[in-house]
Amino acid sequence: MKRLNTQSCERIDRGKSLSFQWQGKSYQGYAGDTLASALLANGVQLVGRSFKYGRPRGIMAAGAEEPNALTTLESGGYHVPNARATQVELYDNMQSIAGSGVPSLHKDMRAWMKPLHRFMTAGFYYKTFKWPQKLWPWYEENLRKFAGFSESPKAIDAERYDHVYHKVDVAVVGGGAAGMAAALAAAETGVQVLLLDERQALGGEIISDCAE
Amino acid sequence: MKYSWLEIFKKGLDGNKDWPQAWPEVSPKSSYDVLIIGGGGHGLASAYYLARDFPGKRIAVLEKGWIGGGNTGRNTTIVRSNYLWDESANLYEHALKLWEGLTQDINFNVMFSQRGVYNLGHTLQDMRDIERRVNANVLNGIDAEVVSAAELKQRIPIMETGKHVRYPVMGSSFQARAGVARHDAVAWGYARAAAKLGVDIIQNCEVQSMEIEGERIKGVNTSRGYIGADQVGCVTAGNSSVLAKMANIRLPVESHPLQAFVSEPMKPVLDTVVMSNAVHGYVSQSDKGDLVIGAGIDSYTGYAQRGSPHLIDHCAAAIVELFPIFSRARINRQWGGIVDVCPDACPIISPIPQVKGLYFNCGWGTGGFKATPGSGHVFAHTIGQDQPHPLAEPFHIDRFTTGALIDEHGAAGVAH
Amino acid sequence: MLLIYCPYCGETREEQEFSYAGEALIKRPDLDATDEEWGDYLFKRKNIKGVTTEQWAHSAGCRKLFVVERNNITNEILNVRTFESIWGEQEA
Repeated sequence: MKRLNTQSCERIDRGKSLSFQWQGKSYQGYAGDTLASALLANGVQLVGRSFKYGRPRGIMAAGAEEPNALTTLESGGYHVPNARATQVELYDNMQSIAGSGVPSLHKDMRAWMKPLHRFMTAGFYYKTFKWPQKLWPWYEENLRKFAGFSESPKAIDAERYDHVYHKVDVAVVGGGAAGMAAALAAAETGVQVLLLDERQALGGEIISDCAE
Repeated sequence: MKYSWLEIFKKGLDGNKDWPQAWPEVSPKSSYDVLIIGGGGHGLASAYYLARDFPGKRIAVLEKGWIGGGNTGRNTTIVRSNYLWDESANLYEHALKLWEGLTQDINFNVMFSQRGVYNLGHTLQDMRDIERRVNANVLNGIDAEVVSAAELKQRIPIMETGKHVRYPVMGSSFQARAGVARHDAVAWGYARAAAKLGVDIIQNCEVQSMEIEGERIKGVNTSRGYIGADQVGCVTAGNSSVLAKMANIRLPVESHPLQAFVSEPMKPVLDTVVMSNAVHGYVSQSDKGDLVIGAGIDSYTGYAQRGSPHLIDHCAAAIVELFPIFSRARINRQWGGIVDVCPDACPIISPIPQVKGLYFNCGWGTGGFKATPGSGHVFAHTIGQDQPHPLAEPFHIDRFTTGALIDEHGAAGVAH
Repeated sequence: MLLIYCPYCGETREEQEFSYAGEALIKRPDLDATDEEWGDYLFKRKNIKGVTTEQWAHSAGCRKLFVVERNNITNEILNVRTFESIWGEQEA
């Protein structure tokens, strides 16, 4: 386990344990964990593979800016492609697998291309794959297999959604310190304000800052 | 230097340090024989075919931003030639034939993927129109077939054709030789090929006014100085009226925002192109794995390269209705372009009667990308021979006086 | 998404309530116009890049047409007028 000791301000609730599956193995996390924090706590480092050469990748950031931890959640009508592990709130019995790896996270055959990198500079495909002309469709079919992250969902969505239509005077996107202050300032002028945040609670980085 | 496996291999062994620039950075000369204003796909193609078929002419392409930064870099990459009327069908089919040899011709892989295009029909009238258009195509030697709903379900199992949706699919037209191509590669490929034939590609050069003396064009004033020219071809899409104003003329076009968006990349799931006028959306999957989705134009005129969000909303809803499994795919990026729409949904490829030496290639609206090679080729010949190429003749600007409009709203597709 | 003030309803509403109705104040030529003049009237447009004078109809509301001045690069609406007020000005 690679957890920090209990902090004065925490997003996790160490009293509520959750189980989840990653790559077919079972792990434990806490309510308030993201999939990413739960994986890190369990010492899981390899979460993805790079787009071109399939090189091993780990979790690098803490939110929407995370480039590597693209995962696939659930299956069937609940399948979510390309879910960023840093943005997904852990829930009990979450099923997750890596969204990259050709053919799999632990064995990526694109690694054999790495020594050929000098022949595969940016945009190299514009300079080639054009002879003989009749082979282009075959080249393309195979190039496509190397691209893309998660598989597409194959079943119809099991959930139903409703469209909420909301009109306000001011919408503030981001509920951290600056966003909350801006929303407050706007509201104090008497206008209708909507404050939006992608996370499950307001506060942004203030929550972690207070831990220091 | 020809791009090839061998070159990649040789240069790779040598540290990739001697690749020549794809096109050299040059300063504008004081004058040229022909100026092409607009460095998008059509403009660059025009310059290439001019240089190739009319050797000896000094040619420059003037682009106010970076080449391919306008609609060429913003379209949804669809290529097809299944238009209704002879005039347009022949022009787009001419383009399609050029597409089929383009990669080899300009020695640049434009990744033209002939994965077919389906135009769906959701009503009896849709199906009648489809039958008619398919028959017209076949009579013009263009590959086309009518596909039933049952057959569609076999070919594209992930598509919802059932009777319980709001607009059930009744059938479709299909053109097998149609497909998609890599839009940026078309700009870069033509720029490189044109530069190799001596064309000056000049970026960051905005035309600000035209020098016209006694009904003849003399040159243009640009942000990089005055440039003289005997002939000037304007190929600036959404900004065509801006240039027309400099020549004191008005065009029958209006510039509208046209939006598109892509999902995050997924493993291959859709290997063809599906378009629906009725539910207002069309989709394909790029070689990189993203679903590429487009809709109709925003109703108002706009030069902002952005439109209103409810259009994206409706388009996404339409796509999810047709392909329910895509509901959880995430939208990665959304953008807009400026399309110059013509009253008959057909282009203007024409000398301008009021100004000798001035030519316009515009009004392609939402359907320009597919015509890129054909448009460039016939426009080049229209300029080179100072008379409309036979395929361009019907698209003379005079048709808006004679009334000989060519109504392609139906075949123009979703974004008409 | 544009927010447009309807001068008849006296309210600002969302774009979806309206229909864009083209360039405003185009003068129809007399019926003895040449083909050129008639074609110009039917098809040629200023297609201004910048501040346009255009028509909108409040199709989901009062359904009346009115004139809007809008910067079509920034989408800022500068002015909304009824046709009556414009004709009134022209007569004065």
